[in-house]
Amino acid sequence: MALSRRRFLLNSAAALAAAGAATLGGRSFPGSHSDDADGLAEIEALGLPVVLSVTDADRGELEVLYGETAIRFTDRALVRRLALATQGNAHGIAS
Amino acid sequence: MASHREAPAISKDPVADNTDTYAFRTPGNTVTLIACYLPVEAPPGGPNFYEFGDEVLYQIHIDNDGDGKPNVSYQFRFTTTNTNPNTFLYNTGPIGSLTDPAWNRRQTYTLKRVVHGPGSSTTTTTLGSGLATPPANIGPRSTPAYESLAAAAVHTLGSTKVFAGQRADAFFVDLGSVFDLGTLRPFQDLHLISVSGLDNDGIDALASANVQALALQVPISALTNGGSVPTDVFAANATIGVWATASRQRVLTIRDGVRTPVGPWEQVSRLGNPLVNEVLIPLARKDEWNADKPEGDSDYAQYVAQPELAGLLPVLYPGVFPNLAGLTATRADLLAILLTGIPAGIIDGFQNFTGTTQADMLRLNVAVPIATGTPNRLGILGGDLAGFPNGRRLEDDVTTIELRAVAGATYPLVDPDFEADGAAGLIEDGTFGNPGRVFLSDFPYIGTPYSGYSVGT
Repeated sequence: MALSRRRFLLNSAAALAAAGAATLGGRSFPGSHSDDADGLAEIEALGLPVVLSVTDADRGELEVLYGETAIRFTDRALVRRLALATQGNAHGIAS
Repeated sequence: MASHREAPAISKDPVADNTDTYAFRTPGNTVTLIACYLPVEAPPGGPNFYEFGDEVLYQIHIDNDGDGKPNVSYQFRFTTTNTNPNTFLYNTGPIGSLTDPAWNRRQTYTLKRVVHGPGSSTTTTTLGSGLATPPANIGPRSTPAYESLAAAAVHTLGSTKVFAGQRADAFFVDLGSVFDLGTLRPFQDLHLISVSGLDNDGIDALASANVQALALQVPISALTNGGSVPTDVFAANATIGVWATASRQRVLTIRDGVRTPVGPWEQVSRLGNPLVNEVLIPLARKDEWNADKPEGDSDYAQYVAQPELAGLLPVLYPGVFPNLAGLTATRADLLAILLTGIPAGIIDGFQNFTGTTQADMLRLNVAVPIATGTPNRLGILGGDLAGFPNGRRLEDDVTTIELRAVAGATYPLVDPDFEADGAAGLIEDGTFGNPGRVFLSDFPYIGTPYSGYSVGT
């Protein structure tokens, strides 16, 4: 199924929020609870764009950027899903 | 070429490219700080005249405790608006004032002052917002009274004056010859590579170039450690370090023609002393240098201690620099001038030493009074203690000063037994006598920009 980049980004961020792997030095990542719909709403409330960057795939380290902020966190499962998604680009992620 | 297009990455990002930084005493116990950006700006800049970058964070930093870290920073952020969405024109009639409805594309800015506390704590004060910049100097029909437009863009915010806008580039250099394998036109007959039939007169590559200038006039007491106005040149708090930077956010998204920067600020350009990244830092590390902070400049000290240019001069001009050719010692003079300041006891009545932390900053001793009479463009090298490397004034010929310093003219200060070559006191690029710059007698001092109508590309 074709997946727009916008939806991919939102889904990734929501999955991140749902996974609850969202603390860095005690700081909670916005939307760090298990409800997918609330997570999406919080992400959208930040205002697009929110950019997710894998900074160290081997260690499962990511960075989410929004406004003038960057938050680092670790989530190996999310990194694996992102890796699968990038492979899926050859199979129909729309540009 | 104080820092014009001096590094690979920033040469492709003109609006964030620091060109020159100036810091000098001005009347009323004030200091004027000027940071220029956007190199080799051609005056006929239409239809999209040169302006600051809305996506760039411009800063001027002051270190007053000698650790190479800012104690005070002034931040500039710009916003551009089009008042008339239906025209392709920058202006639809003569621009008679900064609020003239004929002026379509305008830029305003916010100025903030950041005081850096212990650790990473900061206190930020917005000094002004919605501050107007002047339009570009277009020509006699669009900007007929340009100097009054520019004067109206000088804002007084309490004890601080500020100006941001287009100005004439104060720097001068024979850019074309210097980077043609170190050719100094007045001496090209002595060059290793003989080329006949060439003129020996220097050509100032920036003779009619503009820049975007940020200018601040600030009370000395607002910058010094302890908030005093030192009158003793040898006082511990008499010297401040000054440098300017430009930063962009980490990621830029572009979607359907809309640009949105995201993430923390990343420094992409910096400038303290002129010509450091230009001619001392290797090409492979220039981008890295631009991203680094002055507090870490011991990592680059080797390039100051043993400058490549000092080794090239005797090769490029055979027989002209025999003493320089034999000078293999660490260049303690250059390390002092550029990275730590000159300690007491080296030059009578002067010091601008900020400590042992090696950091590239202009070092201005605010207790040294303003020069009386005509400033000597060779600054301290010419006996004028108010000039470079004591801060930097608009008229200081930093190219000649640094060429002569690298050529060994300043080494006797640290080793009286060294005799500098005669040529070290004479070399220049040929623009020494012909800058043709006109400065203002009052803030912002840096001259009126060249008109696009009057000057070709």
